[in-house]
Amino acid sequence: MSSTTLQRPRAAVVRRPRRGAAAISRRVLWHAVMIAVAVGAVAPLLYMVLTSIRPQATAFSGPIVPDRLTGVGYDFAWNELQIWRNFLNSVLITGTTLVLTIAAATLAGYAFSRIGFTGRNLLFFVVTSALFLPGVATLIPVYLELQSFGLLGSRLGLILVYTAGGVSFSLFLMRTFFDALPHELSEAARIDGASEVQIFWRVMLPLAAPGIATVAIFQMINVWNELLFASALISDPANRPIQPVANSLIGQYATNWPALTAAMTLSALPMVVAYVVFQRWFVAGLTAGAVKA
Amino acid sequence: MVSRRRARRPLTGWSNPTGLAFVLPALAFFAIFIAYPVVRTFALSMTTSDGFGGSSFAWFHNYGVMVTDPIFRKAAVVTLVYTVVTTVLHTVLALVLALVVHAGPRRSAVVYRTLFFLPAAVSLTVTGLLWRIGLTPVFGVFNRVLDAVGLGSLQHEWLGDTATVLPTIIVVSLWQSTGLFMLIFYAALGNVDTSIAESARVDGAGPLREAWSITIPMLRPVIEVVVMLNVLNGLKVFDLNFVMSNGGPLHASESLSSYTYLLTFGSSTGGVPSFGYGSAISVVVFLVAGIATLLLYRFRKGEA
Repeated sequence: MSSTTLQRPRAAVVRRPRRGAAAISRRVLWHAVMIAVAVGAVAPLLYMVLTSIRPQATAFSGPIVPDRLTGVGYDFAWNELQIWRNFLNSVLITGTTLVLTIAAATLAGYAFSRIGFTGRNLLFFVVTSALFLPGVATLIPVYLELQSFGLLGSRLGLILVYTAGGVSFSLFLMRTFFDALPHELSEAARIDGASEVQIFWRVMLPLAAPGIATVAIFQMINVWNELLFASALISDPANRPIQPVANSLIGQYATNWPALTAAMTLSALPMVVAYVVFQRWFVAGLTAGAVKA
Repeated sequence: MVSRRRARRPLTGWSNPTGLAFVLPALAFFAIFIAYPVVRTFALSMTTSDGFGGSSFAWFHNYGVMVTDPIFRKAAVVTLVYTVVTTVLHTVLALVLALVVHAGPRRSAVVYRTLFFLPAAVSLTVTGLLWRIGLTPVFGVFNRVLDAVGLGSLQHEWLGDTATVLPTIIVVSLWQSTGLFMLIFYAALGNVDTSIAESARVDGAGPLREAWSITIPMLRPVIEVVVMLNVLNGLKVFDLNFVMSNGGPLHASESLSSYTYLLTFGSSTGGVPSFGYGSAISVVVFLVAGIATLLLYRFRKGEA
């Protein structure tokens, strides 16, 4: 008697493991698919790192996973090929471009969002329409322009061009962020007699920090990885950033795979680390950009 | 981007020197390195400029040359094929991958999402070099793996054959970029209202039906953005084909951007740099990208 009355509630409990079994096999299948895709995504990168730390003699015919590891490839790339110069050039160019872009885009984004001026919307449309502009459409005049400024072949010239290239997107994102901030705080500051500059610097800028972080990570990846303008505007290897140098190495050192892959790993590493560290802002920026665009 | 609500009338009125001062630095960069060069590209395209001062006005001569230039036609076809194929494959694969990743437990999903994105954090330059090394005939790791699993007969000089070079570059671009678009879809899935999907599930809709009839339509604005990004990236493709095959063999992977680069800065032809003709091709890329943007934008507005 009592066993039958207890049956009902238990039935619900007993059913759970069955559903659980189906769920577990689904979960296992899901993990299997995910792992397969992850291997496809990561294996080539792993191969690059493994090749960079193997002896040159085993690069073509040795086992794919090297049995002996060495830093000779890095030593050769860093010191003999003087990749360190190009690495530092990339750091300098990317860093300076970031500062300039953020300064210009934050100021302008704030003005477009909060301060009125004649022709505001038309101007915003014109500047952000450059988002669709293919780089090659400005390459030749920019080359001639830098030549006449005496900046062709210089890091400063490339920095200015990169900043201009990043302003449209950064401005667009910054205006979106400023638009989303509440008006009450700036209004309160204004009533307290703060000037437009004070409101911007003391009140709005600290609130816009997440937006600035997003702009920074996007611009950083774009500038560090850029190839077309870097190849065209700087020809002296001493002044070049790391991407075009990595590309030109394969011509001269086509068979020195450890040195080549060491140079490639060095040029890839900073952005891979940056992405993993700053993922949150990157994803936030993608969402904001994709939803508002 | 036009849908901005104007919450409050700006206090300082309709013509404001402070506002202009704030905008000035951004505007200066834009004017000097974007707007002026675009105008100058148009002007240069009507000259025979070689970049060293030799130049004369030639009306639409360069555009006439284009019509009969077999390399230009090849580059136009390569660019178009690359754009269409990568747009379709990037969007579909990334969307499917994002839906599958999103269906799993959140914690593992974040780990996998990070791993899938890693190739996109690596530059196209390094991607191209890496696959170029990996696809080296005989010694390359790709052919060695084929050999090891008994598929040695499939070994091929992937980048040295005019028939396989473009498909190979497209596959490499899938490897590099799918993770980025997957991430965009994944982020968007986090913002999708789940209540409709849940009620559909209660009504007996399977996961495929739910994705097709409910989730994907809700993602439509994001899909459109991804398509637009891909079309624009495709039309200006340069890095991958420049690094992997230098546009070759026999211009089989020459894109409009790499051809412009070759005409302007490339020494492999040994000829006089043709800034004028290169600019004319840039103008074509510019116009096609502009028209594509307008069409896609009209399409979005029309459907909304």
